[in-house]
Amino acid sequence: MVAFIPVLLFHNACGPGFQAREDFFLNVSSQAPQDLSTVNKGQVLYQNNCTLCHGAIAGFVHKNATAQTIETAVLSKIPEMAFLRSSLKASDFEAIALAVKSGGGPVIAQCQNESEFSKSTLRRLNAREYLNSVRHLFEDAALTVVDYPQANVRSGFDTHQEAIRTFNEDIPKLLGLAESLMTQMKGKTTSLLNSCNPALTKTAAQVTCAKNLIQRLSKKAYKKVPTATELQPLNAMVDAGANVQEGLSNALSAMLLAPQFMFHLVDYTKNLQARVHTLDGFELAARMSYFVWSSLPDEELLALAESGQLLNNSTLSAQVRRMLKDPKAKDLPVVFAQQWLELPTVKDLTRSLQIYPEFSPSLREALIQETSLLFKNTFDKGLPVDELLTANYSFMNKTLADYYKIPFVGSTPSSFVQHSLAQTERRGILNHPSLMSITSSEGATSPVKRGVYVLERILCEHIPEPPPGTTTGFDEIDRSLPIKERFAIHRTNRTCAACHDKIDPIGFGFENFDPIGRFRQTYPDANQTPIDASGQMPDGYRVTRSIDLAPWFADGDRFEKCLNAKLSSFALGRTLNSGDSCAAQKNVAALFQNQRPASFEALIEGLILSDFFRKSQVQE
Amino acid sequence: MSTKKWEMNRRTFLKASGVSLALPFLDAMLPSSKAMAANGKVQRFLWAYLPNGYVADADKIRYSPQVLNVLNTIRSDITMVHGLRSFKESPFFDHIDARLSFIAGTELASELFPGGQIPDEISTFFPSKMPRTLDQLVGDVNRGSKNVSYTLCPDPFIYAPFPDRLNVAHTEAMSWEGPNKAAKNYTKPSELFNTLFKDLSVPPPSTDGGEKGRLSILHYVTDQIKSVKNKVGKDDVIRLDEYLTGVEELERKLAKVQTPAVQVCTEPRLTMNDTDYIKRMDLYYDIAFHAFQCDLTRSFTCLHSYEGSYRVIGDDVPGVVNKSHDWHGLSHDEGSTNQAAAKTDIVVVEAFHHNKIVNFVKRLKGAVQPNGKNLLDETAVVWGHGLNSLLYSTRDVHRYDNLRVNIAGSANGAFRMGQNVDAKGAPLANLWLALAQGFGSPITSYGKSTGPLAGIRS
Repeated sequence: MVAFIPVLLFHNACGPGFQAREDFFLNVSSQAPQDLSTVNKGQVLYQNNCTLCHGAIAGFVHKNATAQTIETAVLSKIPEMAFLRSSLKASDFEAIALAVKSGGGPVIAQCQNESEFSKSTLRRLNAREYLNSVRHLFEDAALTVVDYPQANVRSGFDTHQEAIRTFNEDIPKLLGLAESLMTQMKGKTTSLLNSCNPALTKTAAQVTCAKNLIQRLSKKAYKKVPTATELQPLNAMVDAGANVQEGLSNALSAMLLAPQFMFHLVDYTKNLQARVHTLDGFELAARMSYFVWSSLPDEELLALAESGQLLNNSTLSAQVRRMLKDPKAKDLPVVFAQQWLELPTVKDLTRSLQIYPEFSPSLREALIQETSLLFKNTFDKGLPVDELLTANYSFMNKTLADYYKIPFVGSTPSSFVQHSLAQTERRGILNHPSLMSITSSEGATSPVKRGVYVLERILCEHIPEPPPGTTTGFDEIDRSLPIKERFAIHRTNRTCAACHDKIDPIGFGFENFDPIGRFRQTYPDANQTPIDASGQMPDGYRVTRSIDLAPWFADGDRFEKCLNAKLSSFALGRTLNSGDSCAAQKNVAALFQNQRPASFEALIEGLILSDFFRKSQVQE
Repeated sequence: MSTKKWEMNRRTFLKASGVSLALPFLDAMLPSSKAMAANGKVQRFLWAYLPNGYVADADKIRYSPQVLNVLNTIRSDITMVHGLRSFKESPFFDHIDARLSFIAGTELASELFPGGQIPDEISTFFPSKMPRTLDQLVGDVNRGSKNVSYTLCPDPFIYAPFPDRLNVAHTEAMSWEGPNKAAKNYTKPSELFNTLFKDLSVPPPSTDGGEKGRLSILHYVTDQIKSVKNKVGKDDVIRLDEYLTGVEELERKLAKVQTPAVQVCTEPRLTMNDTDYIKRMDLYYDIAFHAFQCDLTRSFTCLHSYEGSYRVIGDDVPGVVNKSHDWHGLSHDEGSTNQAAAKTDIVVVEAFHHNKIVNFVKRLKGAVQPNGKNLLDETAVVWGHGLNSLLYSTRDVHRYDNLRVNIAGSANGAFRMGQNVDAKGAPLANLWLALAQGFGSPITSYGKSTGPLAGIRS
């Protein structure tokens, strides 16, 4: 059967005219060999046709699916799949079945094509980046920025290229901010502006000093060596000012509004033929420093960019490690965690104070801190990222320890100190009250909401909305039955089972945590119905109580892959397409060959060193 | 520089504005010269979207009695259009699609899934198909008046089915300047207030160089943007152009203004509540009313909420029984013990939102101007849904036919009031086209329109 491999390749190269022939060969042999190209074809078909309802191929629940069962489902059994009838052929079902068996593995081997990456688009600095950048540029940590114009980012990362657009009314605010920064600096004796000894009269020495300062700062602000056309008008502003202070203020304000400061420009004109642009040293320095520091590259990075050494892998590695140790990186894990998990929404949850008197603003704040601090600790100590799921300890202040009913061991009530949770039913962020609260409704837990949230956020699985035409069927199920049994009957509906086989065991596994994340053994109903958190995952893994969930989530590399995908999306400021995801997974796979379990440092270093990070697809 | 008489009263206005923004009508607050539309009439437009459809009565055409009771109070000032269609069916994304198809007057779903294939970049698909929307067209005609678009999507916890693939900003936008260019959404009333009532929004110069220095700064920035534009990709150019447009506009304003001509309002310090959903909605309608009265804008859009919202309605809407449910969940009968209970609740929610709009309409009608007309005489308030709730249906799906849109106010005689119009399955876009033409827009098609809907214009 080796003979038909070239036929498939031939078909791929020649288009639909050869479909009939390919079908013929595959129909002749139902035992198609698992050659890579067929598996890959199946994976692409799965991605295009099945993911929306069934999630990523790795999580596909019908492990024993065959071409026949898939074909039967599409052609006759499941009405929601009817729209696929005209587009899928017999050979496609074979390929999908093979791909399902492969579990998504070989796709990594195949993702080589850089032009598959989605495009990066310019984005104006976000509020965090602007504040950090001006503080680091002017070496003054006391500078403040009020009301930086930026639309509300309600979900996703504030680094996303779609997160910030510029509207006309934003410009006066940006001008006002630049001027306000100049005023702030003028009032300080140590400020850069004063270093040129401003006076009402202009001396040649003062003018030279101001121009030197502009040259130095513009290199930092523009993240490259400024050209004459960039620099000369700024110098002219110094000359035009009534005094040095005025001229310098104008020049620096202009610098803060310049597109070279406000955006991370990528120059595509250097190689007009290329479809993929490799970042030059300066572009790379900017991309990595805004990822790790949310700020400008420092002088060391710029010097290495200028000399070209930054493009050397060993230099780059060393720089990533240096940057991660720099205090400027300390906010990275916290910012990332809060945006990934949307932790600040805890503050907006509606909870009755009669039923949950302890759910006060200070507790909500502490819950956000608790989760953020586990990320910070894992990052700072270089622990494997699985620690986030399995940690049997947590960081608590007095308010939080009281909530947990654990004796507070810290010295001051406001400080967060590590407390053991080894004797409790909690492990890692999955059981953090922050997540348990976010995924509940006001008065009740929602196993479905929790299951979906955790699968989507923590494992990056896509859980679709119920297909159109789906009825829950709940009303037809005997109401006297326990909720779990009603769900089980609901899952006998095949359409529902496609997703709920995965969602429900996870959601019910969390039922021991009430709508503000407190541990409970019974439901708050009149009968005090005991909670049954047991269940079985689609892969057969048994959960007897909630504490069993964490090992399942931490098993293999699926959590690392998801975290890495999120980190990549945060770093690159874009939604990952399949080409991106493939490259991101490849990075994890490479790491796993030698240094599993991976730390944040390893993931970040792997990402920055990869082509995925260092190249940009050219916009047509 | 033109002096606006109302400016001098702004402090009075601000001081008088508490949470309720109580503002007496003052002749002096009228602008010195009103912008006139091409047809010589003052016409105002507010376009509102209510998510999750309406629960129709048994005959599938009428609103529930509770909603009808609300609408009946403005019976002579309203035209109710029914039997409209947005699109036939959408295999997926129907909620976002319903909203965007409603706005765009097209059938985005069938364009997106011609062969049932899902493109990788769904997030870029919808925006690329958006037209210049109705509110923008109205604004174009009413030159000299500022277009304002804002949203009432206050939910901090949202559940987008595709959080990574669909950019939320796109799906929440109601007003579009054109493909890929959503107009700014105002999610905070304070921000909207500042934009509308703070005149040029230009802070006083704080640098020593004054306006001259500022102009040199902006001039430099303009030059730099133009220069770097040549090196970047075509998508990047769009972003840089957004930036450039703003800088050039400010440059023009400053060039016209003689130092120190911009009178600056050091307030406002309204005790506005930016976090409470209902107070926020009330404030928006309050701001819209005053903005119409002061003729600061002729065109508003207002998205009351969106289908993907997980906002718990119990706190927002008095009289809801199942307090922990969200609006969309109710429309699917989610979690309620029986359909009747869900239907009772969703009708309460619907009537509540209709009432907000109807109260706004009544307020416009009560505001008599020096020319003897009231504000409603010159305004059309238009609202509707992009899909239907399914509780009347035997299947748990949304429907996209039998959509209803209401028009309150004739916009200076452009539209016929006090009638029921059966669109007989015509596309929504036909109604949008009739409205745009009634507002004096020269367009001859909108989205997938097949011609202006009959019976709408006077």
